[in-house]
Order: sequence, then structure tokens, then C-alpha cells
Amino acid sequence: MSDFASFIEKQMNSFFGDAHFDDFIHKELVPLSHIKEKHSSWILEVDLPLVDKKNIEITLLDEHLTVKAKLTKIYCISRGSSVTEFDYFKKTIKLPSGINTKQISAIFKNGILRITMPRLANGKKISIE
Amino acid sequence: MQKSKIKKTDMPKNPNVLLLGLPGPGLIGTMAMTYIIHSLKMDLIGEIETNPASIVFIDNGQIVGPVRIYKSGKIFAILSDIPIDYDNAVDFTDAIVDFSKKNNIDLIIFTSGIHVPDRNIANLKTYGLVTDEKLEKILYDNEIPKFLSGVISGPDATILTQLKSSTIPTIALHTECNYFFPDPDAAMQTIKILSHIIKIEIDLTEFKKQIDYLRLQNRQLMEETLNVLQAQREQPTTPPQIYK
Repeated sequence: MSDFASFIEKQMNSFFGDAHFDDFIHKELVPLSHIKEKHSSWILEVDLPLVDKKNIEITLLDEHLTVKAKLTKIYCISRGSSVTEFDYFKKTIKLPSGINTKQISAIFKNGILRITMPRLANGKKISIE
Repeated sequence: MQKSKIKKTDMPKNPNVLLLGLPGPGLIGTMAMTYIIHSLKMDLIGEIETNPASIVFIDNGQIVGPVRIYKSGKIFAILSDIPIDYDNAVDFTDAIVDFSKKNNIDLIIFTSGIHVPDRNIANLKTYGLVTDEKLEKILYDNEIPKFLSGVISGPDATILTQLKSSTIPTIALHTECNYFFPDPDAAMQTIKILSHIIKIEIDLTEFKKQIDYLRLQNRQLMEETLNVLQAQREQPTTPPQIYK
């Protein structure tokens, strides 16, 4: 490990060693994600560093979308004298209602997975008197 | 309405410079400053007290706070490992101004980011804002475009307002970034610009090797920072009566 890497790790472990996300609960890394509404779609972005496109699995079950991605290298987090190894990211997100699940699409660029979820266009038409 | 005036102060040829790196959009300031402190082998010379301190840093068996001050030659750096929320932004900036006066700081450089979703990662831009007319030459000499229009919100806005009303000339550098995720590419661009301004070469080889790990290691801080930024965005915004 380089000087800078150990410097960063020491710093992060000092500050967040006891609350390093929920990584330790299921021994899987929880990626950062962000959802926003754009035009007639929801856009979900998931930050997946150290991941190849071919190792990403997206599954949709009921109203939940799960992203699982295998890391290209094992990532270790040390807490005190113990070291925990992680080899994949996993996150399940409850989707907003009214999504056209048949039209969901995804792209992966610069380590960010972008999932576009168009909304169903089944609104009730209101006539103007 | 009070007319806004830009100040004119002579800048020494070899100024004492204070660099500020705080958690903000894309964690640019924190990542850039951490690397600069490491690369220049800056010495820890003190800290800014945060009250109450929610976390402490242990360095060689010594307890230090999350907002620390480093020095190497005429370059000073303040690095915060906690987001500065709205309630603390004024006191925090007062402490910076006080420190700057006591240490004869000639120039403060504040680093942050602006959200540009469709930015070109291979050609990221950094925009500059100055509180003193003389500093425009620094922007010009370093080919930094001026931040001409837009909005700066959150703690950045409070800190910049306070710095503007102080007597310490300040440059604010805002680099295009991903607002929601740690953005080491934007931090690297900020380091390049800072390196030109302070005229000290900073080798980025080690930083480039760590890009993916920086994104991984900074998830928690990014989330905490967004919570602070979001809390401010969601502060009481009573809709106009017409929309009720």
C-alpha cells in the first residue's frame, strides 16, 4: 500500500471506523446512490468504483431494485487488529410508484451506473368545460 | 440597497497563502487538501476548535480535532474532516479570519465544486471568484475563467460572504464535479490549479493510483456532507400564500 493510501485509510478508519456505512452488517459494501426525477422518468445513479460492467447484476423484484456488483479487487477495511475483506457491492432500493418496469434501461460509464426508469403514462384525462 | 465594492490590495510577490479544504460537493476540497498536505509533507501546527467535538483524530497517540491546520514554508492549509453546517459556518469563518490575521496571511484560497451533470471528465473546468480586484491577475495568469453567473448555496455561501467582508483577499475555486458522489477527478483538477497558483509542482501519480479507493473510502463522509447540505436546502421554505 502506498504512503498516501495508508494515510487516507488511517484517517478514514479513525473517524468512521465504528460507523463505516452498513458494510459490516452483511459483509457487503453499500454503494452511494442518488435518485432524481427528470422529465417523465426517474434516474437512479449508483457509484460503483472498482467494478467492470460485466460484473454488474441488476434485478427487479416487486417494487424493489437490487444492484449487485463484484469488485475487480478485494477491498479490505481494518478495524483495530481485525481486517474484513469485501468483494462486492450490494444495495436494494424501493422504487417510486408508477414506473413502467418494461422500459427500464441502464448504462455504466466512468464507474457510475445510471438506471433510467420511465413513469407509466396512464394518467386520467381531464376535460376542460 | 448597499452597493457592492470590490477591494484593491497590493499582493506581495511571495505571499503567505492559506488553502481551505472542507467537505462539500464531490468532496473536492477534502480530497485535494489531504493530498496536498501529504505531498508537501506539511506539518500539523494546530487545530480549529469545534464545539462540541463529535469526533477526534488520533495522530501518533495525540488527540487532535477534526479541523486541523498545517504548514510548510509560506503555505498554510486548513483541512476539515467534518462538514461545516450552517450553524457553525459563521464561527468557523471568524476563526479562519482570526488565524489569518495573526499569521499574516496575504491570500486565502477556498476550494469547492459545482454540480455539472454532463461535464467532460477529460477537460474539467475550474472557475474563480475573487474578493479583491488585484487577484483577477492571478486568475488571468493561470487561465482560470471567472465564475460569471450562477448560485452558490449552503455553507460555501456563508463562508464566502464572511470572507468577502473580511480584509483578507480571497480566491474561491469551484471545479465542475459530481455533487452527490466523491469526485477524485475534480479534486485532481483542483490540485493542478492550486499547484499553478502557489507555484509548487505537485506530482499526481500517487493520487491517480488511488482514484477508485478514494471513492470507496469517502462514502461515509460524502453521505454526511450531503445530509448537511440537504438539511439546509430543506430549511423552512414557506410557500407563497397563493400556492397553499
